[in-house]
Amino acid sequence: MNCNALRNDLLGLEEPARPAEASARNHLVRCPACRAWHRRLVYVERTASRLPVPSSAGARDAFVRSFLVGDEAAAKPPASPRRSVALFLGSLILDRHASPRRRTGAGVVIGVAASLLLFVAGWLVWHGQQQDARALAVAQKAPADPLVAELARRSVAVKVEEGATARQRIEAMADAAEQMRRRNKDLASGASAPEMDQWAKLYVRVVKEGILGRAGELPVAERREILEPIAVRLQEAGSEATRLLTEAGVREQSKNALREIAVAAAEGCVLLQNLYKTDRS
Amino acid sequence: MDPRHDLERLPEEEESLLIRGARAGDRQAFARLVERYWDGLFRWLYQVSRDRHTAEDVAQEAFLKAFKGLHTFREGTNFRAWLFRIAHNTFANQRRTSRPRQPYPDELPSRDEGPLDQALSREALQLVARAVGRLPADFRAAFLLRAEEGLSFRDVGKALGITEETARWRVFKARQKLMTVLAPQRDREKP
Repeated sequence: MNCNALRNDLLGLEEPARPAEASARNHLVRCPACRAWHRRLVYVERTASRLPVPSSAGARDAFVRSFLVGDEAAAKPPASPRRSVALFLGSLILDRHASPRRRTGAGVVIGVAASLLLFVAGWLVWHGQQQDARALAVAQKAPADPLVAELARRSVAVKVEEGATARQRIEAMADAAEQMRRRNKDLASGASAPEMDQWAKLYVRVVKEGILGRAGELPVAERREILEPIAVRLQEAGSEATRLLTEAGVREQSKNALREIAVAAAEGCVLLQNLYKTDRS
Repeated sequence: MDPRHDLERLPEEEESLLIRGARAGDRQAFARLVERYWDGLFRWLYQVSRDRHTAEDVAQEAFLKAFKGLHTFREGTNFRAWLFRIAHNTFANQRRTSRPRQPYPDELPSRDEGPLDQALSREALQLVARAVGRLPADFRAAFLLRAEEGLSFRDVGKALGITEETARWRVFKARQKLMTVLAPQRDREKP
């Protein structure tokens, strides 16, 4: 087998890293040029399989939530933002050759749009707070477990405590997540399905809103020190919840909730790591 | 170790159960399938479309179509390939009617870093990303289904609506082009 034939063979394999034919393997042993070429092929294939993409976790979660409540309209993709309108208006303002009337008109449209945006943003913040209060009330009422009620109360206390720093809030929530994690096993074998669902929802909120939602507020210099131990604990929590899925004695009806906990913990760990690793550079 | 790996090792029997449940109208079961396949599908669609909004829109639409069309899925066949086929058709339909493709971004988005990522230099990733981005769309789609998703040539063919041999040929051509583009200068000068 000559070099060209070998390389063509390797390019057409499902697994170029592991050529099955003895003649190909022998050639690679004998020919340093083909060996180097083969190493590069494997490297390119592996690198291509891990190319970075933006996170779409938010879109996925929103889709799943809408889908679960049967809201097909909301689950359907919204119309893509028409960036072209903004670009068109912007170009009119910036374009020195556009007539003054057109430039003024475009400025007015942008001004109105900006006011509307501010109003909508304000409404969303207010509405979000109302929903928070309602959701916490539900979390406090629904589960029979006193720890859940305690955690929900703690969450509210940290939220309303004016003087609490971002660090205090995050660490309080990380402790809450840790306490919850210690109860997962007992609950997974004893709690009813609705209780387990509530439990998982509360855990996801503690991680997403209590920890991740606040982590960006930490000063860059402090992030690693504060977030690294939390990321480690979340990683352990994720692995533990995944392990519980296969353990005897865990109720079938608890498994969805355990998966939610595992996903939230694992994602939380990765996102926190990203945050302090990214900011190091 | 990347903690997500634990989640990706859910057994195949569980997938069959989820599919059966979803077929019977259990939305929770289908939601689990969405969570399992979303990242891979989005990753592939992003690389193929080079546009985050398009990738998200197509992924959502594909999952909705898959849920409605689950009765057409044959048990025992590859669910991943079936889902990617739906996504590919959805993307092809959308491409016919929507805006032109975005150029491949010069700056790569950040990603969750595992040990392998850390070992790869950002520069090398950028180089490979650009080379992959410049592959003809059909070659890129086939190559990434093989490299990222680990689909067999047969399943790549099913996902893209082509024969197994055509799938193999497209992956071959994609690899060949990448090797040429990414070859060290001295290799390229050789006859």
